Amino acid sequence: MPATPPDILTGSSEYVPPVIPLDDLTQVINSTTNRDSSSSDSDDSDLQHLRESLGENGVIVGDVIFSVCGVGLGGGGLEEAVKVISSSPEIIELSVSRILHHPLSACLSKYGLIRESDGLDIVTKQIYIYNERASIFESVSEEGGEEGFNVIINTDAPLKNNPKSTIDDHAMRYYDSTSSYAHRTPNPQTFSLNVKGLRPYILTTVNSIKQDYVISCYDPSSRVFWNSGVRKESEFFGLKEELVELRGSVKQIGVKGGKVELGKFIRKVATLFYTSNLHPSSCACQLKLQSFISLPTSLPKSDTAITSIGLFIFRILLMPVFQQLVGSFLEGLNLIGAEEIIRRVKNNDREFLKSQAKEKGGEIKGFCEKVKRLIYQGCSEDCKVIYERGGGGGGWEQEVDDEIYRCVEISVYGGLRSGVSRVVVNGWRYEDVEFSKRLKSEELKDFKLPEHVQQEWPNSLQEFKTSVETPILPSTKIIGVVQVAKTIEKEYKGTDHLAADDYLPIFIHLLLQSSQESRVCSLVELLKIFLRDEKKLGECGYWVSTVEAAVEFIRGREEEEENEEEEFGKDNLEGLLAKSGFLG
Amino acid sequence: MRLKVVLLGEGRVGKTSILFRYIRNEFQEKQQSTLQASYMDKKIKVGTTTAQLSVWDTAGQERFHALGPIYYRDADGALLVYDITDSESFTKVRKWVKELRKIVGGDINIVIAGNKIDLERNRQVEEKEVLEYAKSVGATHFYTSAKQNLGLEECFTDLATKMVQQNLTKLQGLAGGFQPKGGKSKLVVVDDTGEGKKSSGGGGCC
Repeated sequence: MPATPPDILTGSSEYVPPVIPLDDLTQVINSTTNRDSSSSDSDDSDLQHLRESLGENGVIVGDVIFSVCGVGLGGGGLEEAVKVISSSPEIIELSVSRILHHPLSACLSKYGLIRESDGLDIVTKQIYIYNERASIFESVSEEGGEEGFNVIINTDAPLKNNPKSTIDDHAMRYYDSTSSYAHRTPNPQTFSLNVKGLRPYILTTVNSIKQDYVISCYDPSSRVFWNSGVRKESEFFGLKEELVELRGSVKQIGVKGGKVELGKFIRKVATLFYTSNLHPSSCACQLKLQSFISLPTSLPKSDTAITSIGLFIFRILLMPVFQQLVGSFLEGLNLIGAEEIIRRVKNNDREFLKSQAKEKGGEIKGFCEKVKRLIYQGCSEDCKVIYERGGGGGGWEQEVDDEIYRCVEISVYGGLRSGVSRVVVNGWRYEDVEFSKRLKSEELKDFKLPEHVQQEWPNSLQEFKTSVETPILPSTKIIGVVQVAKTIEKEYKGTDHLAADDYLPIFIHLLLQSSQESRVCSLVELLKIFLRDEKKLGECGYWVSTVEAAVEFIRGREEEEENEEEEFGKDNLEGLLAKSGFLG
Repeated sequence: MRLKVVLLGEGRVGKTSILFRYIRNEFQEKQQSTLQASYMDKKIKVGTTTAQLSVWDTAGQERFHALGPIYYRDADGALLVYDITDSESFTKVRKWVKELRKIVGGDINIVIAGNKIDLERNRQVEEKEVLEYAKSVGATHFYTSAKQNLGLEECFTDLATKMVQQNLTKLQGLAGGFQPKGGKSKLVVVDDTGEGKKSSGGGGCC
């Protein structure tokens, strides 16, 4: 572990993109073989050259040494090996495994997020196992038919052909002193799993509603969000009992009262298919959970390259190191609670809430960005392969980057959504109320919009509701704003083309037609807070700014009239700036 | 390198036509006040640097002027367009410059474009006055015609060159004080055709 690892959790130190290990590899090869780096055409040829020069007897930096002269290094083996070396023969036999570690493991190691001693191996193996397990679903969906849903599982088969559950606690055993590469289960068995209707990995967040709970869920396979029915605390305990009946080891998963603890319990249960041994009742347990969280009966099937990328990224996020990383961030965020918000609202302390929304929103966005970069650095090659296999065309980098961010945002923001929303809505409550009053008190014609934009915009309005107001994720809302602009273009009945002179009044027109009870001001603030820095100058930034300008126009119309005679709207400008926070 | 350019000017001076012509090399003769352009991207090469220009068009109507700052915050450069046949449109340019300097800051790169040079015979804006003004505010001036595709390439190239140079200077300044953290990562990759290789190169089965 580096002496002072960069603090990826708090962002107190600047993010430094990890060095891809291949760089180091080339350097070491060059120094080992004493060759000029300029003569190296590729890393593959370097490796080949190295193999040839070392033969079978060489040991290379990075090799995992299992045993010395037949003495394993696990347990007290190292000590024994030292004795052997000191007393023994001239020729020392080493049992060596040369493993190509996953680039993500190097990224994680660089930031001190995994142990140097074994973390590289564990991470590599976890990614491999998760992918293998995911392939179960790929194979059955390809075969199709009732019979095709049955998968024969042999827990004693070599790992390569049979993903086993040696993920969390047992991962280290891959490199035990016996040199047995794949860990073998104590009681190997063969059984059949019917994976029909199974959703192997569902993201969940437990929210409290008075004394009861609702579970917010997301299925990466279909990209659908939904909420469970209302559940009482006792029902969670009941679920556990039912699961224990099916599979005794579920007893080890703790369940306690309260939103946080129940959330942990459900999260563990919802990911068992990946994080535990496969078991004859694995599917039954998962189906029981699916019923508990009210999984919709028909979820759409999404086969796009981006969905495949999303599934892969969610598996990465399922790894304990990321679970811990995200969990630590969520626990340390200290978002103010409902009672504090009520107190601030009563004291008319809206500015505090606004600054909290901006500050905490910035932290969330910054954290998501860092985790995204970490994953992108470590998994870009995987993503490229998946993207191309899924039929994706050129320009994969941006799409993959966006999808990784989206997955991270779901994992992080999902648990914070209600808290963030509460702060933002209460922070800009006054503006929303004033905005609604304005809409109620004035008619469309009072705003004197150009005639050619005063047509009906039903599709654009619908798009605004479904793509901007309804979605849960800020990034989805922001993309929704771009979608609204595209819908406007399609729906426009005029013969001339649309540009900024038209779009701004059209957005004003849309907002005037939208529900008078909508919280447009707080919505715009949410979009601004969560707009990624790299998107601010681009298309997303432009359209978010247009919505913001439309809102400001409606809010500032009175001042505009008052200052009509003044020079170039100077006062109006400063009034608007002050309102929108540009002047501090 | 992504650079934001905001396009400012009174309504009907032709700023949208300029954008449309420059980005898509199209011009529509019969138009009202606008064309199908509001936000556009274009890659441009300046020396060895490839920059992505994000050009933000703005509503030119007087009543929307106060909303300008929402559009031009964080801009690297601004293209201020006036119509050489409309002296009032040039008066507005002076106000935009003041406002840009005030809101964005003194280091924003500004290029002024005297559009509709194909209507030279109807000129109402004195060339001497324009050039002196541009010089006084540190802006470059170009004559353009979106209709005849004159001066646009030069106009954007000049603006892009200034922005790229400014950004490179800033980056160099940052790099000067940058200290890498954590040092080099240790060697982790070596050999093998074993199981790890699949997870490294293949990614997932989804």
